[in-house]
Amino acid sequence: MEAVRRLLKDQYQELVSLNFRGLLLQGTNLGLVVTSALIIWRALILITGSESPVVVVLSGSMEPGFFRGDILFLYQSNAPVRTGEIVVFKLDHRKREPGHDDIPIVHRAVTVHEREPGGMINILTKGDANRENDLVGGIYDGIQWLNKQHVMGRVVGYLPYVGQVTLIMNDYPKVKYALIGLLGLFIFTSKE
Amino acid sequence: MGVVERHTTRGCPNLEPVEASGSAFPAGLNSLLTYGSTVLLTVCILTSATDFLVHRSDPKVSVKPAKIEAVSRGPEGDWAWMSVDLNADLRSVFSWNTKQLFVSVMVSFATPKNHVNEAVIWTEIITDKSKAHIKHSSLAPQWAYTLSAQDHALRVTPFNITVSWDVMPIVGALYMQHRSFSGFQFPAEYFKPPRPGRLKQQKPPGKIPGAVM
Repeated sequence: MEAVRRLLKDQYQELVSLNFRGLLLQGTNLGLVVTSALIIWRALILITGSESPVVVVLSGSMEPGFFRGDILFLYQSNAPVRTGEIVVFKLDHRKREPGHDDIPIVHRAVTVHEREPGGMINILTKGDANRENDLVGGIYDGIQWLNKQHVMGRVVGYLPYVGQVTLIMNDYPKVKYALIGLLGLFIFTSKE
Repeated sequence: MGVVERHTTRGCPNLEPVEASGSAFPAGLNSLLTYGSTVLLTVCILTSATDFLVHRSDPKVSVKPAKIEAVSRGPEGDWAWMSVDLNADLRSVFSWNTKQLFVSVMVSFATPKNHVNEAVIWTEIITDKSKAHIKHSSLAPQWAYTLSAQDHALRVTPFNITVSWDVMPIVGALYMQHRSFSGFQFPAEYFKPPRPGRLKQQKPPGKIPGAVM
């Protein structure tokens, strides 16, 4: 605790010791870090074609393949979905009604009907650890099949545990603000 | 106050050794974390690369329909019920980076309405290399899956059976492989077993309702 207090005190002294030019420079530094993170994220979206290229698993319906807190990398291919592929889908048809959120879901395609090549497609999904498919399990919330527009991408890569940080930050917002504040302070006061 | 602070920290750093080492600490921690995560990420990428560059597998698979137990007309389209003979030796697919194989048996066919119909009828998760030789005769379809068309055109329709396995890694890229077998055909007439509702099926052990991320 004493070490932390001294650390913060040092950071604070570093901060108040800055003159206007120094302040401006460090402000620019902070902006640079934030914008490069944004650029990397946007570039990933561009390359993968998926609106959220990296997602964190929130539930155990794909265990033991994916656990809560694991990270998945998505790719949005032009090829139509086929059975066996793990897709991430989002149901947005009832998002304006209260009690219906549009959290993305990662499950495996188990039935596919496609009218003509590249045409209208009907997809049924199921979680590997679930007893029922998603229509019977009530996940589709009123629709019978998934279509192309529901699919946000297919899982191509897997990184265990790393998403735990995100989950902790989601569950305890105070940790999130403390961490963001601390990181910002360090960037602000670091001497390059 | 600020002015005084500036003079003590900036003006004579050599006289304030405690202050100097104090401000170096977060920078050191930062570079340690950056270095550590870079090394970890590189190891993960290299590990995943061995799956594609080093690992060689020789899976042996055969599957054929054992018995078509029903072909019937449903309200939204024809449906069928089929058991299969499956022999899949997937032991060589396991590498040191394989967490599990998700094996599925899928029936595919074309009808006037849809040029592609794919229906998974049986799946299994295999987490252990020693259990990766799957051998079942007259394997019944599982409860969660249905084999159906969206039109009434299943009779006399040729179909393929595909065994596919999704290789799910401990870390890195996923990949899927499959073997397809063709030359099968649904019977020419609708029929159900003499006692309807007695179709042989498997109930997988249930778990966990919802499913999000």
